[in-house]
Amino acid sequence: MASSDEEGEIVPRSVTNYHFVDDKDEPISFSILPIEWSGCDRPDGMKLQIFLHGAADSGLQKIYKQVTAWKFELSDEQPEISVLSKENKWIKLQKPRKSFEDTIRTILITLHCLHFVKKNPETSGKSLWDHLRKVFSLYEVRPSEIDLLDHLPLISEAVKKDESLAISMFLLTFLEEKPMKTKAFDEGLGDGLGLAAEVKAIPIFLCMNCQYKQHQCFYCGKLGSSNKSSGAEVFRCVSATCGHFYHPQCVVKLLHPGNKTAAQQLQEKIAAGESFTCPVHKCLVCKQGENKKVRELQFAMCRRCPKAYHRKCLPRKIAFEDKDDKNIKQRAWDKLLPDRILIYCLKHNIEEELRTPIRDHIIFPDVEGKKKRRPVELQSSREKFVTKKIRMSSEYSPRERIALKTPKVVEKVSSAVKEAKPVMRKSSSSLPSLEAEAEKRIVSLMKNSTSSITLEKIVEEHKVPSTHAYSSKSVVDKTITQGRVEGSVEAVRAALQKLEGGCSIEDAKAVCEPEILNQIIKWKNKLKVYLAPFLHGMRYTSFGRHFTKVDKLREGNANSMSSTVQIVDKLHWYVQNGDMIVDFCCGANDFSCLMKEKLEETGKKCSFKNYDVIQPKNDFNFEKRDWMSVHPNELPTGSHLIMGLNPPFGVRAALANKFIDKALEFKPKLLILIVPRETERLDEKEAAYDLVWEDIEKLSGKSFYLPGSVDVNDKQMEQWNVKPPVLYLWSRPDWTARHKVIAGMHSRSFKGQKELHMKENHNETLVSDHPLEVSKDYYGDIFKIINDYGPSERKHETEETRAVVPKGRREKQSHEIPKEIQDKGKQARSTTVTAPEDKQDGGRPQLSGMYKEMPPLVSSPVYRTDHIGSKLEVPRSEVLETPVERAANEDGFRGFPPSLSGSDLDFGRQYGGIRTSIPDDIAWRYSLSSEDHFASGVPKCPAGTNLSHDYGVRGLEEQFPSYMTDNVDSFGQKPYINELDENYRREADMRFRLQLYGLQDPDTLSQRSSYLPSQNSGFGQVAPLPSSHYGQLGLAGESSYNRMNLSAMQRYVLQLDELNHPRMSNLGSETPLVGRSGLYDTPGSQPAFRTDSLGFAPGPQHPFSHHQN
Amino acid sequence: MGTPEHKEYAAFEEKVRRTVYIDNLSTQVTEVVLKTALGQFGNVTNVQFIPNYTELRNIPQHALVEMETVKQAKSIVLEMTNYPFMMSGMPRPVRGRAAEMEMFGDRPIKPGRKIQCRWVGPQDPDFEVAKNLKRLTRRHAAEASSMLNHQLEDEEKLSKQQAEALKANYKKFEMIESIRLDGTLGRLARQYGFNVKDD
Repeated sequence: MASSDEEGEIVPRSVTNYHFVDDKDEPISFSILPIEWSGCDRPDGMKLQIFLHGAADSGLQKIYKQVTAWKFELSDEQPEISVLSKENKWIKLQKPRKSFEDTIRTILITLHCLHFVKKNPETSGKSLWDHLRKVFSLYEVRPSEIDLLDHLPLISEAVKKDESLAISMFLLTFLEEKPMKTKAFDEGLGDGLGLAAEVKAIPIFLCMNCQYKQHQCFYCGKLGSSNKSSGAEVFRCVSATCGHFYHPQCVVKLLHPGNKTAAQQLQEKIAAGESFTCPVHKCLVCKQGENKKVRELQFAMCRRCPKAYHRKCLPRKIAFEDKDDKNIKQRAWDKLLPDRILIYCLKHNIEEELRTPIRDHIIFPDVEGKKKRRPVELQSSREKFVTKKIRMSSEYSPRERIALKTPKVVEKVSSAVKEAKPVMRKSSSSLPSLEAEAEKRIVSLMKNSTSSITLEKIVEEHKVPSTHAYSSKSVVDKTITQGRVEGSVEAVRAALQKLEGGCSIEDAKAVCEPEILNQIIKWKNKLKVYLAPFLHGMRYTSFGRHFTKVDKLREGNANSMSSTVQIVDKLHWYVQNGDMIVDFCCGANDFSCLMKEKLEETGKKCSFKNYDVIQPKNDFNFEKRDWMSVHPNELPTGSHLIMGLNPPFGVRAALANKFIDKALEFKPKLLILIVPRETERLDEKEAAYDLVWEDIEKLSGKSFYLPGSVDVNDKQMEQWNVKPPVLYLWSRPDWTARHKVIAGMHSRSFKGQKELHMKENHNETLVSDHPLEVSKDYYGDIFKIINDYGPSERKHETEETRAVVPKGRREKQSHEIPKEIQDKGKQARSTTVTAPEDKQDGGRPQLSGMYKEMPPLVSSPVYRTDHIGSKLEVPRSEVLETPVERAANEDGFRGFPPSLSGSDLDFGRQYGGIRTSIPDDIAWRYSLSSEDHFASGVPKCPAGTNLSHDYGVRGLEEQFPSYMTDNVDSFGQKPYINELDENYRREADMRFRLQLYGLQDPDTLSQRSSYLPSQNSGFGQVAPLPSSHYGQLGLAGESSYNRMNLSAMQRYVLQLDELNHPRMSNLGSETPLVGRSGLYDTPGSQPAFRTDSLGFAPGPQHPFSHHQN
Repeated sequence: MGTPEHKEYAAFEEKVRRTVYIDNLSTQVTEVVLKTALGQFGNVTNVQFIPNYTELRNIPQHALVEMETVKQAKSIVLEMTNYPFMMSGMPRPVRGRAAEMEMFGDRPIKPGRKIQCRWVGPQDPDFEVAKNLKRLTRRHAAEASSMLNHQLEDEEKLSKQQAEALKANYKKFEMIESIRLDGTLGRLARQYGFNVKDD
């Protein structure tokens, strides 16, 4: 129906991420525009000025246009909406801006409804709503008929103009029924009962029945007292969804017809207060209960008396339509009640005019006088709407209590506006009492100023950040009424009692439907959120904000006590010159400041942008903005953007998701996030991002603080999360490879604290034994740190940072060596490149041809292993699988000491492995450091990733690079390769040390194994390694591989600048081995032992060199 | 212009601009609380509570909070106007606005202005004027006091209302919790053959 005549001259355009605003910049729905129906004249005379905001050309072009009309088109796959710009061009709307969705919710739902109906004219209400709920699954409030009410004119117009819609039963019935319902909505509740004013004024509205505790017996219709504390005459059915009251004598007649003794007994019980379920919950015909999920077993319930039938048992005479020939009038209506049929049973006469029985059945205790003043028809018809409405919305409970919003805010603010004049010179004792006149003046003054403030005005003036726009208040107050909660709770109890008393599940379900349980839980969660400030007491702060502690943000400083893992330190490697770091919810604005500090230290120049809705103390590059209102055009392109960090979480991470979605609009190359675990992962989003790493442990413990709150001791209040949020680093897919390389090089992971603890202890012992004075200081420091801070605060970063301190003077030398190494590196790389290059989607152009040529050198892991194996003269045929390889490397690691000392062949082998890997690293490092960045580094990373893919272990990539990172780490800082002899010396040292470690292994092993449980299950992968033949260290058994790994590394950590290893292993507990193995496999290294060792030295020993300096 | 008085006065004026007048503070608020609370928006350099001379009862406190920069002071006022700012736990929004010179008890004399005191006898032509002034001052105090009464009344009503709503909602919560905690909910759910997910 859409195409307008000027389609030909129009370049079809579309806009996404759109929203509309009026001339006051308030969001407004486009449905307020005049609609243009095809073939009709264009409407005109638009008073409001409405503007379309959005992005066109896939986000490249920002649109801001005044629009004058809209139209929709239902014939396509999706309903299409277009708006007419002032220039008479139609602009198609695609995806609305997230924050705008609520504004156009009803119209979108309406259009989707029409669209669905057009496609399936036969559709039933149920399948329609199922569909809509799927389409709008993200909405907090599920779509319902209420959404359609806003657009009745539109729907009826559409039905008039579109034949396929006109045949839809659903729409027709809807249109027929709805106008009445709407009316009930508008005037019914209040006006119909003559209560409009009262309803608005009272915070909790109770109907007369509830107020006076007088309810009608659903059987005989007479009012009776329901006040249990003072001689109740009527009693409520215990069923959660029922809400009818009965006289005991009435209900027993129904429950035990023809059995006087039983009836008598029951009557007494009920009168004594025992719970009962009324006959409405059993089918009158078959005496079975209801099952809403089975259509045939859904109930048809009489509105006027306690009668219920299954759909299948419904008497023919209660028909869904008029049958004039048989003199049957419509008595049943489908789809008015959720999963139920509304009927008037045959007992009631249907009035011709009303099409319902006469509406005189409701009696309020007190308002009869009022009622009589009205003409009967009007009164009764209104009443019908009213009751219908009430029942519809509340699953019918007369005991419903409707609470309305209190105009609290108004009062609050108004009181705020009143001027207090506290500073007075007179003491009150001498105050003259005010004459009545003055008193009156004051009162009227106050009234004036109070009434001059309206809620609307306040809402208008105080722009709430989009994130706070939703309040559960109305839900909590209105939907979850006390009566309903009471009833449900009682029903649950009664149901369980029944069950335990031997009743059938059927009976219990009649008392308490299963859905009630879910609903109760939902209510509880809502209440919990709403009451949070009170339930959690002091944990609640002024703005409910939580800030990440500075020390979590900052890189390690040996003296900083809880420099657990430092986000800044982790992140700064990924930053390139010219990047912009955006903190979309900067809180105290610490992150950017620290980041800047760090980046300046490392000589990178970046810009910063920090957003929050609340002014921070430090306004460094701060802009007070709602993040949701930041437009993508305002920031540089995504490849220069790094975004983070700690969005507000919201209930079930709703806000976090919102913030992230917004951030994704900017397509940043990196997203660093502190979000709860239930946040939607970025790799599950439409435009998926890749995970570079995640850190679960880091933010456990007291990682946050409550800004602006003090505890009893006037100390800043700390905050921890029951479930610690996770620190993620997400990368845009096209950057992933580079980031992973960096991650690999610098990965620091965080291990389970227990492990840590043990390792630390270990370190301590080692260190203290340590004969090397050179490192004394250093260790001393660490030692101190360890001691001081205990297990939980252990950070490797601390060491790391120190270890990495650049030694400029070595730089020159380093250049001489690389050649050789680089060759090696190439070889190594080539091997890596070999395998599944295809997996790494073809779009990695960085892979230089050279690498491609090289691959054949080593074509598969098997080959590599063999190679190593043969060299070592150890038969390894069984070792063909990757894990083995890993094992080998692992072993190599462990085996280090012996091999160095020449005692064991086996170890020699491993050593070889390691050697190889190292040059490789170095080469990489070199390229990295010398060419200042990714230029060369990047090509390699795909290789790395490939390798890992090869191994098919998830997360490999992370690990793998991580190894390199370490080295690079140091490299990045420049120094590295030292003079040969220096190397040698160090090597010797190392040997010595290693030996030491070797010796110590046995006992550590046992410890290690005890840590098994703390290890991640991920290690399972590695378990199968046949490690027993790997010599002494076999002690550990293969299963302990990882552990060994970890612990071994940890032990080495200090001495060997293997810092990264521990980190690695921590990183994703499963991955570490693999990563390393990837590196170690590289066979290229075998030939030249010399070089290898050379290469080797710098890597691991690096820290020492530092010390030696 | 460069006299010490001028300088002092200019410094004072600047200080006034840097200062926020905080009103309607709970009586439990202490200097530290205030400092920390506002510390999230800037550096608090000085907190000065304004003593209550007029009322003999506990009325909400007022304080002058001096910030490091004018900008910070401005942003605090803005924040407090925009969002209800709670201090010391319970929801009692604190009001903030820019301080005015007259709020400072220790303000220096404006340079060039001279204040003279003298006795005014009944015969003096100014006697009536002075008396009127005195009456007016008392009247103002009385009016303020009466207004305060009304305000407190309103506030009490409001807080009762809030407490009621809270109690009602809390009762709902408790009811649900009670069947959850005593296992009724779980057991029934099991009987029905499904698990209630509970977080």
